[in-house]
Amino acid sequence: MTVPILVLASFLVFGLVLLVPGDPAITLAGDNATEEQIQVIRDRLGLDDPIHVQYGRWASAAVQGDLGDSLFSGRSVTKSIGERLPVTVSLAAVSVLIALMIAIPAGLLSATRRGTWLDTTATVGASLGLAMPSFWLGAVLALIFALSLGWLPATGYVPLTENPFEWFRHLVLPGLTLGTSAAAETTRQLRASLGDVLQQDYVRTARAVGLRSRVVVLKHGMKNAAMPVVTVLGFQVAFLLGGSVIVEQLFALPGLGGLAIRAVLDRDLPVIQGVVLFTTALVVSINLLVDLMYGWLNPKVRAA
Amino acid sequence: MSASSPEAAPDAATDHILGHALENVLDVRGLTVEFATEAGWITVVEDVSFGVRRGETLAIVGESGSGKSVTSLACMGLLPPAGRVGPGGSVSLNGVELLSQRRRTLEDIRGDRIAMIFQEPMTSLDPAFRVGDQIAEVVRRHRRVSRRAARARAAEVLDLVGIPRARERVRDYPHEFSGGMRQRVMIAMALSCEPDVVIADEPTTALDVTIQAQVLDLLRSLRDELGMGLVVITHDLGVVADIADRVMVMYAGQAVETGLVDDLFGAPRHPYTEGLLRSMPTAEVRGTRLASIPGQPPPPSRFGDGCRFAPRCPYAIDECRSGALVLRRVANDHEARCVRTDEIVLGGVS
Amino acid sequence: MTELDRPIAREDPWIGFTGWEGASAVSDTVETPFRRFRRRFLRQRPAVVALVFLVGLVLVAVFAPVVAPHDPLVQDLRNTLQGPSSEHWLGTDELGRDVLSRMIFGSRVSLLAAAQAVVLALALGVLPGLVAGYFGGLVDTAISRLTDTLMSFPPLLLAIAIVGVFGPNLRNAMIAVGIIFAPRFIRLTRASVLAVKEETFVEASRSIGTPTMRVLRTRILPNALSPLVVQTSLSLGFAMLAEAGLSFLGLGVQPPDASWGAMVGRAYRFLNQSPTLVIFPGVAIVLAVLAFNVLGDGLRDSVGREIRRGAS
Repeated sequence: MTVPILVLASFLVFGLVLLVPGDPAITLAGDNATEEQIQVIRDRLGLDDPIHVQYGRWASAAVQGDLGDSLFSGRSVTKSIGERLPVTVSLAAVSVLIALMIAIPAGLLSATRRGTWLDTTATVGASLGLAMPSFWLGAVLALIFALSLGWLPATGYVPLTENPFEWFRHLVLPGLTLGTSAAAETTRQLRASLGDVLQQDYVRTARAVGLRSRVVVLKHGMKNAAMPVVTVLGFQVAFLLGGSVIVEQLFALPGLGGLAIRAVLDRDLPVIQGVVLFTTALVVSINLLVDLMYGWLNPKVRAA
Repeated sequence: MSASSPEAAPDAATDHILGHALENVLDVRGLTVEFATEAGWITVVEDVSFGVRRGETLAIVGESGSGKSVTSLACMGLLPPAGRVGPGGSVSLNGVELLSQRRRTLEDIRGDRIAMIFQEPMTSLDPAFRVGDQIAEVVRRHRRVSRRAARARAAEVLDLVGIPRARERVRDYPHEFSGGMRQRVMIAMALSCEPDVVIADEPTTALDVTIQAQVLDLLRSLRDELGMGLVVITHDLGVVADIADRVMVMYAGQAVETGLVDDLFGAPRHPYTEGLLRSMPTAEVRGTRLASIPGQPPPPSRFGDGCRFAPRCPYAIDECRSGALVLRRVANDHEARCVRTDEIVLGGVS
Repeated sequence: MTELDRPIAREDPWIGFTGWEGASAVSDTVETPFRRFRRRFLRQRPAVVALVFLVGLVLVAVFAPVVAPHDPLVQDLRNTLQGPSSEHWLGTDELGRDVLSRMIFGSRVSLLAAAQAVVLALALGVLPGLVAGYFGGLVDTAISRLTDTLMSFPPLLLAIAIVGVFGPNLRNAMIAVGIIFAPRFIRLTRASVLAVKEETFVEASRSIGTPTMRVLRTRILPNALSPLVVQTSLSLGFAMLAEAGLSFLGLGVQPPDASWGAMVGRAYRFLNQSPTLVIFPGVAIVLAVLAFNVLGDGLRDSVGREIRRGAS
């Protein structure tokens, strides 16, 4: 499953060049380009070769870790990604952490206390969380916690290796901004699946043999409810990596998002292709990880 | 044996339905269960009383919706959130009142002194844990034993319920067992702490006919071996005949007839019991052929006054529809809820 | 002696007895699917409120020139970044333009953009989904693989990349959003088709030689309709968010026009001076998206699964 998807994804990413309106070389070179500059781009991208030759060259280089060079700075795309990756990964990790810290208690409470004010609060909160645009939420959070209260920095990034505490402080607001929709989605899923599981016969059995309700919910309930939740979380990673583009812009974090935006505004095709392909590979590997987790969560899947 | 025998021979040894409640290991008096609906609380089980002694089997019989499963869940304190036990009832286990216990105390008792086996062996075990671990978890919940000892106990009870190679199979997951084997695992789990009472709710309904007999045999022999009281809930009179000592027939949330199996089968005193006996596919009903009871039992919202079975009863007269009926003693150890029980002649099976 | 050989006792009260009045109490009232849907939908207060809100929003967008108190493009450089006042209910922006009027006109952009994206997603998604589900085999495999792949791309990043090659403007942004939503409609349609394909009425229609396209159109598509309607409502909300995000990044609507997302994007630079400038358009987005989501959830709970009566 994983490999065919990656191959197909590489076709599509490479195919982006076909979508460039008109003669790609002219369009990519920009409005005031000289004939020379256009020719440079044509040579650089090998646009005179047949498309399958172009793809073969690009893909075989990509497999070896070479995603080409920027049309503007001439820097290696792989290197640029490598420099910015830690920021985006940090942001995604903190976001997932925050999402789980919100979603697990919220989902647990609303599933076990159906119909109470706690449940209503969690459900309404989750609906709001899904409806809020991240850049707006980020602006509001920055307004409150950075500008008014001054508790947290509104912009910038400190590497983990330099100062772990500052690293985390700088990622709290972006992480909360990015993690909110994931938290909302996960809360909804956990509420639904745990609610389902708690109606199952084996939960009745667990109660009938006298297990403490805490054990029934946390051990038997959660393990069985985890599978759909993990699935949703896996999907969320794709959203997070995409959404990080906006959040990185908002909080001035030097991550992959900034690279992508810059590339799009410059129509720097190799960089766009590189970032999209790399991120997709990341998503696909995380989904593979999710599939492996199924085996642990559900012995039936392992057997099949 | 005549079709009806109001003057059945008195039998002091078994005459305990009314009087000798203290001997019962599980004793239920005046149990009422209500459920919340959009139209308020409705009564689904009304004033049910029964008891079971050590080494004895009581069968609770009725169609689906008669309230038999709800009765058992109420005894276990396992009613769903929408349900509650009405005032005035009592469920006592070894003389200890259960209905007034705190939740945590009830959790200590459940699985230890009283256990339950459910109808659906395919779905009643947690698919995410090994069966041995699930049983060991129950043992460790109620006994102060080591992890290793609990595992050993799990293998021991699995062996006891006749699972081949029990020592290896503790490591298997529920989906690796067949339906019949899973029901054995359920039984093993229920028996792991040697409870005083086991309630089995339709223990064989979901199983193949041949396996049904095996599971009933197993329950019977374990009951004798461990000296526990067994309550079997079923709609299948074949199961009743096979395993029970005494029977309580339920209809529309009420007990309509109680008695010893032989008395009740041989000479039913309630038309509903007669109807049930006659719709038994294997029944040797004297001088008749198979007939089913027409119509459906009423939903709890339409229980109303008078005899609840009257609309489906060929013996019904106007008197049946007015006023509340009581469960009346019709012979030693035999009760029926029917105004005409003394005038009509009902046929049984021998 | 078998049972049948036995003499039937004449006096046997059970023979021929069919119960007295009231013995059989099964209700035979049949409700049409639409009435059932309407009854269930009207019971869901939040969904009804959401629908009313959205209808109101559409009316405001349509009659924007009538409703808006000011011209959204007229600048007043002496009154920039003002807070709410009686003249400007929601204040003014960095060029002194009336925020309320800009939001009223912005609702046109936001709603229309979301609608365009979802219509495109439907157009790209429904037919492949029908074909994949109905014909199965190699076609299905190919379409499903493509769907899986498209869904592996981080959605926003894919949209950004597509806008990147087409060039940044609202139309291209909505094409991009339409493309990233299409796989969801493919999956949904395919699943609904698979669910009804083996039903008797479809088999019957096929067996009497109804042309394939007609079977698809008259038998299968109607049955896939209710999940599609639900998904459309939910997608409108997400499309609105996507448009807002792209416009925030400067890849969507271009000045002087503004959608709500673009307004937040510009206002972010003045967060210090005029916080309300960020708040109001954001609230509008939240409410609209929330309304689409609540409506979608309500629709889903109202269509539900039909309890099928026994085959007759």
